[in-house]
Amino acid sequence: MGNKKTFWCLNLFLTLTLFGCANILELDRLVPQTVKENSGLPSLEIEVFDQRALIHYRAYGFTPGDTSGQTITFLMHGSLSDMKGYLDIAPQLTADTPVFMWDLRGNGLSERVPAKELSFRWMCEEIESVRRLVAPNSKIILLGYSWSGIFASLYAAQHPENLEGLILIEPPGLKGEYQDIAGSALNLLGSGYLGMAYLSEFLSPIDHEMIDFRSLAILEAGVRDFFVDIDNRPTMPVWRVGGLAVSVWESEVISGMGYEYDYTHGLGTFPHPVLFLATDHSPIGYDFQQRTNTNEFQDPRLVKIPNAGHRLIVEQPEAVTQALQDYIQEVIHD
Amino acid sequence: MTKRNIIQTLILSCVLASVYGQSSIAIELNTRGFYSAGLSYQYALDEAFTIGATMEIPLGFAADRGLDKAGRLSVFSRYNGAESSLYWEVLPEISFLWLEQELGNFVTLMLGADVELGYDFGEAKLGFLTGLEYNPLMFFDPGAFVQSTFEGSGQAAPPAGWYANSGLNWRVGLTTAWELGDHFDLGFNAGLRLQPVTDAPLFSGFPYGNLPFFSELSCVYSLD
Repeated sequence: MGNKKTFWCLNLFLTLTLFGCANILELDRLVPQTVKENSGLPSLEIEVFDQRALIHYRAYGFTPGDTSGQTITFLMHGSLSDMKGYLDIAPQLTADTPVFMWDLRGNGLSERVPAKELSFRWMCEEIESVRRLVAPNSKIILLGYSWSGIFASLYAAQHPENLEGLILIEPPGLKGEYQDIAGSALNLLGSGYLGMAYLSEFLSPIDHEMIDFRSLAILEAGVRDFFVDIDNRPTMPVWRVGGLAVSVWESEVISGMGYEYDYTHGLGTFPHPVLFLATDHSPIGYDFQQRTNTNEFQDPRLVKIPNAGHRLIVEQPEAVTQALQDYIQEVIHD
Repeated sequence: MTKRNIIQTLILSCVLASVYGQSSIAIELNTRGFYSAGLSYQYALDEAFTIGATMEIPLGFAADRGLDKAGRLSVFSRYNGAESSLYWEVLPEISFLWLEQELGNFVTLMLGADVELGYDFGEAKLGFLTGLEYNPLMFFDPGAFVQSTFEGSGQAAPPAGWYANSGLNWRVGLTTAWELGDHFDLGFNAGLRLQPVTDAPLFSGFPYGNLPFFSELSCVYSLD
C-alpha cells in the first residue's frame, strides 16, 4: 500500500509543479482572428439561405457593389487554404476585368459557420450571395481552384446566365467514377496522417481555432502526392485554413472506401469556353482532366502547366497568371 | 463513420513480452500516431496491483512528413479486482509527450484513467471500458510556419510559451481479449473519444485526427 501512496503523491506533485510554473496562454492565439473577432479586417456581410456571415475579401479595380456593369473576375481558393496565395496573382489580372476574391465562409479569415452551412449546396449559394452583393448588375468570370472547382461547376450549371467564363484549376473528379480513376488522394496509414491521429490525443478539437491549427499540419505534412519534389515542398501562403470545411467537403463525396456522386448535371449546355489548368505532377493533373472533367463541357480549353503539382499557383505562378490573362482577354473581347 | 475512417484511426501494436519473476519486459512495434518502437517494464506488487512504464520513440521513416521527432514516456498502473468470472480493472496513466513537427515543438502532459468492467470466459474476455484523458498544459514553441501565417494579417504572431490545452476527452467503448494457445494474446479496444465538458461541435467524418472514434488492436507474444 505504501508503494501506491508514493506513486500517487509523485504524480500529484509533478502536476502541481507544472501548473505552478506556467504563465499560461490561450491556444486560440495560435491562429489569426477572423473578421468576426477583428473588426479591423476588410469584411462584407453576405446572406446565404437566410443565414448571415462575414467574409474577408479583397477587391481590385472596383468598389464592391459598384461595377458599372463591367464583367468581374471572381477568384475562389481551395481547401486547407485561403486567398493569401492569390495576393500576387490577382492584381495582375485587372487589365481586362476588375477582380474580387474572398475567403470562403469557414475558411481563411472569414467567419466560421456550422457544418451544415458548408455543404456543397450552401457553398454554391454562397457564390450567388457574393455576386448579388458585389456585382449585382454584372456578369462574372468565375475561377474555382481544386475543391472550389466543384462549387464553381455547380454554380455554372445553375446560373449560366450570370457567367461570362469559367476557370477550373485542377478540380477533383466531377463524378465519383472520375475520382476513382485518380485513386485515393488520401495516403492511408501514411505517417503524416498518423501524426494527425497522434495529435488528436492531446489537442482536442474543442473549437474552430484548435481544428484549424491542427489542420495546418496537414498543409505542411506532404502527405499527399501533390508536388514536383515532395522533399522540397513549396509552402502554400495561408492565413488560416478551414479545418471543419474540408472535413465536411470530403465527407460529402466519400462513401465507404469510394466515391459516389455526380455533379455534372447541366454542364453540357454551359455556353462559354471553360479553361482548365492542370499540371504534370498531380493525380488530378493534365492527364486526369483530359480523360474526365473536360468531356462534360461543350468548349473546354485544357492548358498544361508543366513542372508543377497541385500547388501550381506557388510552383509556377507566372505560367498560371499568363494562362489566366490569355483566357480572360479572350472571353472579354469575344 | 466510414471504413476509411476506421482504418485511419486503428492503432496496431505487436508486442513481444517476457516475464522474470514479478517483473516483465516487453518490446513493441506500433502505429500509435506514428510508427514507433516501445520498451515497457512492469512490476507486479501483488496479484492485483501492477505498476510500469513505457518509453516510446518514433521509427526513422516518420521523419520529414510533418512529424520529425516525437516520443512518449508513460507511467501507468493497473489494479485488477477480479472476482470469479467478473473482473474490473483500473488503469491510471500519466504520459509525457514531446513532438517536433511543422507546427512547432511541444512538450505536453496527459493524465488519463480507464476503468474496465467485464466478464472473463476463460480463454476470452469481453468488457466495457470508460475513462478520462486530460491534457492540462503544454510547452509550445510555434514553428516558423505558424509564425508565417500571421504575416499580412495585421495581427501579432504567437510567442513561445506555455499554452493551456483545455481538452478533456472521455473514452467509452468495448474491450475484448483472446488467448490463442500458450503464447499468443489478441486484444481489441474500440469506441468513441468525446469532449464532454464543452459546447463545441464534435468534429467527425474525416480522418484528420479529428475523429471521436478510436480503435486499438494488439497482438502479444509471450516468450515464457
